[in-house]
Amino acid sequence: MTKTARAGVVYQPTPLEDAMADYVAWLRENA
Amino acid sequence: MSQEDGTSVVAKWTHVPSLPIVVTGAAGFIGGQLLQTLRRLYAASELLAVDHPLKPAMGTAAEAFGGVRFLSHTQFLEALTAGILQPELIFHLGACSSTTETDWNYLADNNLAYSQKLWNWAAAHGARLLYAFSAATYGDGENGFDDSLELTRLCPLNLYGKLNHGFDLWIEEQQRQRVPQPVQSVGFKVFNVFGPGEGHKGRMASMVWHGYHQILKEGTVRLFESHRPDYTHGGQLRDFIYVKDVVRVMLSFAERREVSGLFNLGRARRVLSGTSLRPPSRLRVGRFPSSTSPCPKTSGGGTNTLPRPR
Repeated sequence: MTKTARAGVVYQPTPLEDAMADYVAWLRENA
Repeated sequence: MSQEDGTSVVAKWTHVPSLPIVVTGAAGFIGGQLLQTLRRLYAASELLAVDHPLKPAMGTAAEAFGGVRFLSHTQFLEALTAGILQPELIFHLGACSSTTETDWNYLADNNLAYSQKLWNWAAAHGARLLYAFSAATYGDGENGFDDSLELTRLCPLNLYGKLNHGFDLWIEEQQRQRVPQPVQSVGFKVFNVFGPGEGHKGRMASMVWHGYHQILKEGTVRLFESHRPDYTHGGQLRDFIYVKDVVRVMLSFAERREVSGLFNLGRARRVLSGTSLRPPSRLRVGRFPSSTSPCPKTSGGGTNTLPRPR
C-alpha cells in the first residue's frame, strides 16, 4: 500500500493510453 | 476535456473551506489546471489567482484567469501580512520548475524563501498549505523513490531539486522544534506531468508535448540519447502522470484535513520514455520514425536519466 493510500487518498491513475488520447484530442483542438 | 479532472472530488468535499481558495502559480501548468477545475464549481469571486506579474502576451488578468481576481505573488504576501486576506486553503504551485535554472539566488528567493513565508503565515493563522514541487528531490534515484525515505538520504542533482529539498528539510525541522504548524501541510513530489496547458514551458514541457509537435512538423520524434551503458537511446525510464490526475489527487488531499506530510504523485510505474510517445492505437496515427538528440544537462551537471527500478 502506498503512503498516499495509507493517508486515505486512493486514486486510480488514468491509463496512459487514455490520457494520451485525451491530451492529443486537446492538442488538436487547441495547439 | 473528457477525462475526470477533479470536479467531482470538489463536489463531494464535506468541508467547504472559507473563501477565497488561493492558487499560486495560477498562470502555470498545474496551477492553471487546478484553477480551471475549481472555477467549474466556484464563482470567480470565491477564488484568488496568484503568480508573477503577467507578461503582455498573456493578456489581462481577467482574460488569463476567467475573471478570477489576480494578485502578484508579492501583493499576495503583503495582503496576508497586512491581514487583508485570511484564506484557509492555499494551493501553492508557484515556483520556478526549470531543472536547468542556474541562478541560485533567484531560486532561493522564489522557491524556498517565498514558500517558507507562506508556510509560516499558514502556521500562524490556522490555514492549510498544499504545495507541489518535484520528484527532482530524489536525485538520480540511487536510494529509490519511496516517499517514506528519510529526507536526509536524498541527494538532488540540480539546483531546483536542492532548493525544493531544502524546503522539505526546513519543514521537518519546524516539526522537530514543535513550533506552530499549519492545520494541514502537504507536499507533493510530482513526477513527469503532461497534459493540457504545458506549452508555455517550452524546453521544460513534457516529452509528450515535444513528441507531438515534432511528429507534426518533422514526421519524426527525437528521443534523448542515453549517457549510460545500461540504457539504449530513448530507453530511459520515466513515471508519467496526466495533469488531470495530479489535480484530482491534490483536491482529494484537501478533503483530508487531518493528513499532512510528503507524498509522491505519479503513476508509480516507470515506462520507457519512447513508449510514452507511441500514439494510442485508436488514434490511427500510424508508426513514425525516431532519431535522437542530447539529453539536456541539468543545473547540477547531470542528465535527467533515471535508473532502472529496483
